[in-house]
Amino acid sequence: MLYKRMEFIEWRRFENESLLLNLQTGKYFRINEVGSLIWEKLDGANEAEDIIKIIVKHFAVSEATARQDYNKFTEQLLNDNLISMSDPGQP
Amino acid sequence: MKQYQKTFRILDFDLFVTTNNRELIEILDENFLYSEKKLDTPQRGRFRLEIEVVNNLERVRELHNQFNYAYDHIQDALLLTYLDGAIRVEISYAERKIKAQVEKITFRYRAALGNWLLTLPFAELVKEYHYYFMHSAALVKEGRALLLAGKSGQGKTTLALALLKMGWHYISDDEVYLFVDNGFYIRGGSIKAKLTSRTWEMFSDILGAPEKYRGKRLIDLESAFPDRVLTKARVANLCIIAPAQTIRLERLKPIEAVKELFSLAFLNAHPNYTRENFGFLTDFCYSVPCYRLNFTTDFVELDRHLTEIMPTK
Repeated sequence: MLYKRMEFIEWRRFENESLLLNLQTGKYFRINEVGSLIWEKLDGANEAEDIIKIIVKHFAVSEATARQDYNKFTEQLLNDNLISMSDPGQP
Repeated sequence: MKQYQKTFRILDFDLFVTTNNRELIEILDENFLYSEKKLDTPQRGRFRLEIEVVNNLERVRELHNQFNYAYDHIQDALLLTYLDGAIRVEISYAERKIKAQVEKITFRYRAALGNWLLTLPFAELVKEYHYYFMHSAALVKEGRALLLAGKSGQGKTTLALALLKMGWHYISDDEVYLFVDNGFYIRGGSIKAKLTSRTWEMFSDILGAPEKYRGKRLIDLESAFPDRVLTKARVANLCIIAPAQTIRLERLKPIEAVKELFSLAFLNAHPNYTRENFGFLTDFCYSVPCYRLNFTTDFVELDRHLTEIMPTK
């Protein structure tokens, strides 16, 4: 599954955290280091498996933990309308 | 219909007001916070403000101090409404023009009318010039500014007067405009301070004994302290203030400061400006140390704490 950040989300990295701002609603989201890494990779081109591998390597966690973090976080982002599913056929 | 007009100068900009009601011009003039004496810079831009005053005889109930806004993507305009819609302000970004409709019943809110009709719409339009409004007091020590940001009622005016009394220079008690010029600077907003009767009484030793009154009154600090009022300074620190039982100054992480300041600094309605505001504030909070300041009325101690974080020459 490929995910892509919504265009109306403005974001900034602050050392180990990130702040996401929904330009349509003015609502904020503060995300931690793991979330920040996932968020940066959600460009519609990175496969879930590739991102999970990066989490394992970067944070020295098991693949199961990384997968759990990835699934939970992307589900939350979808619920908050911060990302959408990306169609691989579209640019 | 007869039209009345007046040009109000805010920073380096002229706000050319036309209206069908002479009393409104008098109210705006009476409650205008900006000094004309300090204007030594050339005009950089001009905005138009057309205000129509109407009688709405159907409105009999009390007005609620409610503020709403909505951005119209098709017209590229922002609609602001105050007091249950008794004041409606439409800001057209493309035309650099403000149109307002004001019900006469709102004239009882004399002090606030200037804020709703002049300051807030101006703050929105002047973003085009990369001036960013912040709801903050500003004091200066050794040539560098300390911003005291906070919502209404948090003590901005009290702290501004306390520090003025302790020897600091004064820029504003309520509103400043940030801009970048090889560093973060502020331009002064309200040269005149807005004081409640209680605050005035607290500083009667420097301001003179007040008479009792309701609401807020303006005092021209530039006239009272001619050598202590400035209009521009480079920013050294920012504190988000709140009254408390004990004094405490705590350094904030940039991410925490951005979150807190975003709502104090900008009206985020226009998507392009919201994006720009976010970037600007992020850069600001990385460059300028931001603190949370819990304060008491022990102003000597407060001065000591704040002087410690200010750079020395």
